[in-house]
Amino acid sequence: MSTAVHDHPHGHDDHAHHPSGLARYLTTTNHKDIGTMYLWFSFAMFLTGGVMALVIRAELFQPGLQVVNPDFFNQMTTLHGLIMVFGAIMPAFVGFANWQIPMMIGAPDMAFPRLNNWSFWLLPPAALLLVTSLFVPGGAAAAGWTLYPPLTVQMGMGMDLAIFAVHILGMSSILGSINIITTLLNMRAPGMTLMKMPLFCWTWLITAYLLLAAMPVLAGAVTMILTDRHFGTHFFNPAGGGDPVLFQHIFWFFGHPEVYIIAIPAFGVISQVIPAFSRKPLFGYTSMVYATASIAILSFIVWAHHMYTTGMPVQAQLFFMYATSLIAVPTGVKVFNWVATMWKGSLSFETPMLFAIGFLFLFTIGGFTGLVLAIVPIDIQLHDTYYVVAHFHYVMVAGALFAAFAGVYFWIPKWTGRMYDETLGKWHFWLSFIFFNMAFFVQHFLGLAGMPRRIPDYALQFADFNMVSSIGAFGFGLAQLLFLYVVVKCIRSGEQAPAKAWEGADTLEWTHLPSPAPYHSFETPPMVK
Amino acid sequence: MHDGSAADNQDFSLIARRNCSLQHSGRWRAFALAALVSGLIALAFASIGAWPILPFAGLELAALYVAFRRISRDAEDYEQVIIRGDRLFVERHTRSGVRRFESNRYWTQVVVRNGAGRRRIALRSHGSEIEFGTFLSDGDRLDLARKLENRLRVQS
Repeated sequence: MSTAVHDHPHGHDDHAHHPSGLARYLTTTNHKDIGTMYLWFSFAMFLTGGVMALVIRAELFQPGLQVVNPDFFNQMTTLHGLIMVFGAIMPAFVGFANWQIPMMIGAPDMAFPRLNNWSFWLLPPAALLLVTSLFVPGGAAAAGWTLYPPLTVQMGMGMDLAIFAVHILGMSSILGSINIITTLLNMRAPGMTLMKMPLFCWTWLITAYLLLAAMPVLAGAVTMILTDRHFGTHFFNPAGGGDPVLFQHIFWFFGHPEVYIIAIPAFGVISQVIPAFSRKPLFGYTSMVYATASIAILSFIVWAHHMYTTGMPVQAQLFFMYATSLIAVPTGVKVFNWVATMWKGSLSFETPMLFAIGFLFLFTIGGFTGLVLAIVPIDIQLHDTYYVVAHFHYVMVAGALFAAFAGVYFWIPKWTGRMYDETLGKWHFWLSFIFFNMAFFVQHFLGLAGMPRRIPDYALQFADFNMVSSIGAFGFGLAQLLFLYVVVKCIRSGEQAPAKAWEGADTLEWTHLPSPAPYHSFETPPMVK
Repeated sequence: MHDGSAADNQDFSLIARRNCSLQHSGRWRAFALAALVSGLIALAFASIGAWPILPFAGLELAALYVAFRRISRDAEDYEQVIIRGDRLFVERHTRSGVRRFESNRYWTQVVVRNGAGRRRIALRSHGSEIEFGTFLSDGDRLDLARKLENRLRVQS
């Protein structure tokens, strides 16, 4: 005899039940809560780093020194870089990973939920260290986000706080990577082979391996600066027989993979959005996986293209020039596949697709200027000019950030159960697109004309383009407040979203889960065919 | 789910294991890849004097090893139900230990609980109860409940 029992909806076994209030977020082990915290944290850091960028652009609005003194200007460029890279963009994609990976592979949560909580809660103290370093004697670190010695060996205690912050942020990244690797490898639903995983999951698996390989290098590098500063070592101090150029090799051995640690998850988001709004499967899935892995591998053999001007044998220059140019091949495969996915597709242009196409167009420009900078004789002319600043902002902002916006608009119906305001979303895209190009496209001209980066004052002939750039930067910054409004409006009063908010979306979270996704999903794995 | 109803001297036997998408060997290959890359990078830098990278790489790989080891142990969890003669045996092997349940098959009830978002089954006899099928999907669990119900009533 069998007995059927229906549990009371609010009883002990009710899986919709979860703690509320502050305790929910302090102690949560739920991947969705943690994903939400990552995303809000990264947005707060984005605004913080953004305000620092606006201080920089306010000073550069006109030649001469009007707003801040040169030392504070250098503190702003340093913290802006560190906060945007480690506090804003990286945690944003970890937020996407937390929300999406378990739902996309049919897993109930991440493999190590408590570790996941800890990975997140390491971030706020690190951010606090970075921001409060502004108020210690001597101010914050002012050597640029690359932290080159001997300058960093000589700075005040703000540098120590920055080193400690980088250690904590690195620890968070490593723990997050371990969680992502173990989740993706071990917790896929029955039937979901590796080559059936959504491309977003593949890009995160590869990124997690990149993080594991690159992060100890950064940790070691900043530790050596710390011991040079306080414990009498001379790793980088020439006075004691050290070599400051060794730091550059170590830093960029980490730093170039770091670019792809940011870019590859962005590729993953774009690879979900473009097929959904083209109503076609992703063109060349297998080649996308191999291209992503190739980019990750190549990223470890190109580091010295950041340091052609330090002096190196011509054979080494040639090697790094060719190796860097080689990255264009797998990147070209990806761009081709995204365009081929759209080819003859039934396209529609909702906000996620607009940001994805904006990404495709602007990231490709950033890729091409990267190729220009890969060429040794040209790079020697353009090194440390605004051309480089323009190049990496096309990769980091129009690349990674636009992809993050595409991802938020794409998945927010699943996260909140509500639709965002499409008109305002499109306004956000067009304002961001126009002001971004206004801020950064002109910087190519400034760099080609010889304006050096990281200076608070400049020669008169650079005035006009700097004014245009500053107006663009302020416009871009204000447009992000519109983004905040769109998200808050969506959460508070958006229209009810259907389970499958986008006709062309076909991953498990859209086909198997309601909107909003329940607090606990896929407690038993679905069968994937 | 492994259904071994034709096993020797057993009317019914079933083993259910946790879903784990990577085999033991694949798991260690994945670890070896990370260890090889991180280890080689750290050793290369140590060879040119930048040895402080080495302990960080070591710590990271130790953490990754612990994580993989834990996953491996969890993957060994299983549940087994055996009906032999007029006896029913249930065993749940998990990291925290083994739980055993034994009863007379004719006095055992199959309880199906339809909770929010999940169906659970348990075997109950003389006031004690054990949940079974936690590693199975909802569909497989219901299938198993029906199968058990039929088997419990069949004369051996």
